[in-house]
Amino acid sequence: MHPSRASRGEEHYYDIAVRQMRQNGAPESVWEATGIWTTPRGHGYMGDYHDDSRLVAGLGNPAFEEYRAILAREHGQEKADSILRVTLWNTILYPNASFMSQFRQLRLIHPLAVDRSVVYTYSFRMNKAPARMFRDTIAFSNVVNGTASWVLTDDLEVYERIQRGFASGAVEWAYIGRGAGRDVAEAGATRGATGTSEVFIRGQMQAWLEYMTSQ
Amino acid sequence: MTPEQFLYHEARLLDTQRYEEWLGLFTDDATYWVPLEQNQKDPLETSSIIHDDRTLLELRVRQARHPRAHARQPLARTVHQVGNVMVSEENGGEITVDSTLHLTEFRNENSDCTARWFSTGCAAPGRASGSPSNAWSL
Repeated sequence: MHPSRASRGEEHYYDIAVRQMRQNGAPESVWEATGIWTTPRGHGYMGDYHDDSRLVAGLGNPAFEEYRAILAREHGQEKADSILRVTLWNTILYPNASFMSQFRQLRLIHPLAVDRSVVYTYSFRMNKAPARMFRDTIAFSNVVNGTASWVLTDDLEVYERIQRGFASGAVEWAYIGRGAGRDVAEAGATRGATGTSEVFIRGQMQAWLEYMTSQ
Repeated sequence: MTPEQFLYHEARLLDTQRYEEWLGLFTDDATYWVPLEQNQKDPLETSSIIHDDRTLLELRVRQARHPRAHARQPLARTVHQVGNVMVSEENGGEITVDSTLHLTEFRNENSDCTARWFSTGCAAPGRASGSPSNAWSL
């Protein structure tokens, strides 16, 4: 029997994968309600929709509670709360870094050609944190980032279909106008009207234009 | 059935897209692990290409059949070429078999080729829980 195997009915190492896939199949209303923001210079971030206690601090999982106590002991209750209260999903640092802070993961994108990129995924083991937290980060990356994972293979298929569409020569413009004209100005950021707004892509294009045309 | 024949049978089930029958080869406590790094010892502390249990293998099969799984349409056509089959360990009714695998995959206009070394734990007929009594299982 595999060492990671739980007894029947108990939480299992792999259960995280099943929940991830269920969450990614959430109804459109969930995505529409998820916050999305862009900041000057092309950066951006998304609010979170996950409700898996093994991934999101603050949902009472014993591993996180143990980590919270360690943080509080070292840095005080207030600082511990402010660190663990951040529930952002995906944060983009323009032009080629993205991190999922609450899952302790960093991604770097290295473009090689117009139709070829390498994405490096780094999983972080937090100092003094329970071993379980890091194992869950690894489980998350196996399900989401791996080349044989459910999430990445779905994403790659979309990218390849888009590339084939562009390569056909029939497409003159890439449409990134979803939600345009309905952006909401907030302090230091622009929020998309809905979670599926392409406000962050427009923000990246704007940043690119500024970098290319500034003296 | 010899270990060679069993592995060829597994490959044939995959290459003819008989995924449900392929899934039936696995016991309830099976682990399917494709490490990411050479000599990787541990699937829990380092990312893997695949680290599945029986439930996740079943999810892969069910996804392959799902009409809205866009990344599985069309399904890849494959050739799993199994070679260098050697029994490396025997323990009662259980044996460990090492083998090599060349996998060629065709999908849309693309083809892809991978080569891997496999270590497979097999249980003798009737030994593994949930397996048909006259068949080997993984």
